[in-house]
Amino acid sequence: MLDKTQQELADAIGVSRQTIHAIEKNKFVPSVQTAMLLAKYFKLSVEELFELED
Amino acid sequence: MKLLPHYFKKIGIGLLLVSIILGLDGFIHGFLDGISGREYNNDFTPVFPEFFTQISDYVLLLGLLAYILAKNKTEDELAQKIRYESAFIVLVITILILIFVNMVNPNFEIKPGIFLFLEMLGYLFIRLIKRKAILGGNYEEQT
Repeated sequence: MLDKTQQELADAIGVSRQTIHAIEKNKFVPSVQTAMLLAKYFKLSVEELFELED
Repeated sequence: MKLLPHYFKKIGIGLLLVSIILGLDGFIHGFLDGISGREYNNDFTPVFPEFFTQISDYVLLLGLLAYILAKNKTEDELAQKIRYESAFIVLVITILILIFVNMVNPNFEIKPGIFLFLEMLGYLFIRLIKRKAILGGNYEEQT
C-alpha cells in the first residue's frame, strides 16, 4: 500500500513481522489497538482497512 | 502477562545442557543396566557423585521453565495468543489423558518431576505446531 516492507510496518507499530504476515494472510485478527495503529499508519480509518466477514 | 527477559531463553538452554551433563551418569547407568538386563551393573563406575544425578532433574525442570517463560524477541499479541491457546490445549489433553489412564489403571502413579517435564515438553510442542500453523514458513524467526 505504501510500498513498505512487513518489517518496516511491524517496527512502526511495535509488533513482530510474523504478526503482520499473519494479519495479511487472515490467520490472525488483531486487537483494536493494533488495528487502530495500522489504520493510523496508513492514514485510513479502521473500517477502510478491515472489513467484517459474513 | 509478565514474562522473563528474552535472554532467559539462552539461560534455559544452558541449564538444559548442564542437566544433560549432570545426568549423564544416570543415563549411562540405566543404559548399561538395560543392555545387561540386570538391575544393577557392577561394571559401571560413576564419574560424578550421585548427588549430581539427583540435582540434574531439578536443573532440567528449571531450564525448561526459564525457556518457556522467556519473552520472544518481539513479544506481541500474536505471541501471547499462541501461549494462552497452547497452555489451554495442554491442560485439556492432560485432563483427558489422566481420566483415561485412571479408568484403565486406577493405581496409576507418576513421579511429579516426570509429570512436570512432560507437561512443559507438551506445551512447547503444541506451541511450535500452532506457530507453524499460523505463520507457515515464517515461524522459525519467532523465537
